[in-house]
Amino acid sequence: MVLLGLSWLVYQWLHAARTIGGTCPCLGQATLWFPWLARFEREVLASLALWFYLVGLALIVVHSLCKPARETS
Amino acid sequence: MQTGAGNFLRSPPVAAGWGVLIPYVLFVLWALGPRLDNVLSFGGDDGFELCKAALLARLPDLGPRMWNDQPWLHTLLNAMLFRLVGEHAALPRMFSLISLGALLGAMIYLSRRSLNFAGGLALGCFLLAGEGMPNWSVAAMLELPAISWAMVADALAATPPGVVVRWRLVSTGTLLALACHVKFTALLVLPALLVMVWAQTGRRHFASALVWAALAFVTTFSVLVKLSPSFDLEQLLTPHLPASSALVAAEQAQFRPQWGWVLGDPAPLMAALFAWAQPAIKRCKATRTFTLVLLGTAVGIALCHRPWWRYYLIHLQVPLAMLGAVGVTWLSRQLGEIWRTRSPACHPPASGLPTTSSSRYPVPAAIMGAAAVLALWCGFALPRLMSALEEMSSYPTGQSSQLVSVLRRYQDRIQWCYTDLRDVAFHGRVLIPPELIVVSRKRFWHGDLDERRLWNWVRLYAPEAIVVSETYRERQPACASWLKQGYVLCAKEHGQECWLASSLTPDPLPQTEGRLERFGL
Repeated sequence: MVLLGLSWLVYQWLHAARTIGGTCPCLGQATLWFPWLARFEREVLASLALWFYLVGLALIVVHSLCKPARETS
Repeated sequence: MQTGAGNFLRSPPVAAGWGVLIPYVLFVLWALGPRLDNVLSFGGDDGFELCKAALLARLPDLGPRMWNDQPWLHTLLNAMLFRLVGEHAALPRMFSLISLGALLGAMIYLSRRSLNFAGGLALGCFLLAGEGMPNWSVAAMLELPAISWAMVADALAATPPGVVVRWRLVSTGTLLALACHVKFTALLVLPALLVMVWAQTGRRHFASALVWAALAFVTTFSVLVKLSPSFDLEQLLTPHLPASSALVAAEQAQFRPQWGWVLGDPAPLMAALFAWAQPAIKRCKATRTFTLVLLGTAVGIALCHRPWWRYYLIHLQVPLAMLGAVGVTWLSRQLGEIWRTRSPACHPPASGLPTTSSSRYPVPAAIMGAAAVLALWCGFALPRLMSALEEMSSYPTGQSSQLVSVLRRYQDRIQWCYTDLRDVAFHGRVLIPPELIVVSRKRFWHGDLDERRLWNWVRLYAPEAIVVSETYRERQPACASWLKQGYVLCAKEHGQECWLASSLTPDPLPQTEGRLERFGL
């Protein structure tokens, strides 16, 4: 649930930044150290949000699979 | 009980084939339609190939006079098709689409022992969503067909270890020669092919395998040289090599790979890391060496060769997509095992990290890895693919171009047209003089052409139509003075002007300034 919540927050952050300025200065100094990040900032954040979401979803599914197994054992 | 057909469909190579068909068929359905014929240009060199084929179709005798830094096979085939069914831009563009299908098929065949359905699907998605790939897949360009048929040649040589099949080696040599006659960059696969054949046959049979393939290659290559209108090795090779002049070499050095193009596609890179966990790729020595040598050759050329054009990116995308697909196969098998066995989340082993029954890799790595590959593809590749398709849907067409409509109106009375916009000339159904179809940077770099010589050619042909940009006309006194001597401005669009010879008595472009003054504005 924490991961799902985090993914939602990252998505909202990204969405708000895009709506306000057109660009997202979300990664701060990191973009100066790695210019590649500045070019793909939006893509990096979208991937991060989706990754959190997918991992959260997968963990929920995996743990829900355990219940019948535990009950039968 | 399973039937034989059921087993066949579930066998990994067939499943991978079904997987790759989904993205390919979806892309073909999107691409096919009037747009394929009507769009002015899908890529930089689209117009070159269309105009070369149109000239060869109408005036084959002038072929040897054409300045051509590429082999002739693609042009000859297109010219033949143009003569048979008419001059349609869709014909060479469809050939590129077919070549893409052949490339995907060859890639699947080469990694057949390491792929399943998910791997095949990933292979198609990785390749099709690559930087520039949607454009190159439908453009009448040479790079994609050349590498595609060279890969098919490699796939034909792929046999089980220790087996030498003579007809396959002869087909490999023949097909590689055909691919080379599309573009010499097809030879990029040669080191990988040699290493793969060595890994398959061993030292004992390598020499005999090589002789059969080489004989077929040399024979086919020689026949095609005879069939070509010209075969000037200096013209074919020199323009692609670094220039001797330091000034030009400095300019050429600007044409280098931007690693953002590769790093901008991190999903196959991430998936490729998991390829090393795949037991199949470890077992299959020939596939592993082929993919790695191909990647190494492409990286070596990207690092060392200048000028390096953007479409050379295909050479990197092909092996990366293959490795990425193998990684996705491993991840999907791990996820499948978690689903089937309900382990390890339910029955974690006592010592440390939970592992699946058949693998020493921790299960969370499979879950997190699969999520990372999917997230990176959706975050990076998917938006790029969608925006590329959207952009391609809105490319200008022949019908919407004023320049094209003016050329079409006078096409019967225009023998020659000089323009830098080859796509406009092709869609306007007019011919460019053979020496002036390929007026590329390479010709200027190597001293084959300069502005003075170019305008001498133009004066020699005295074309009835000239399409140039307004800025070029103002910058080049030779152009401005020639246009003043008997041309009428007939159309203007996005800074490009269409001038027709006064002898055609064309309708001049209405003067907006005068009209505004008449209305007192």
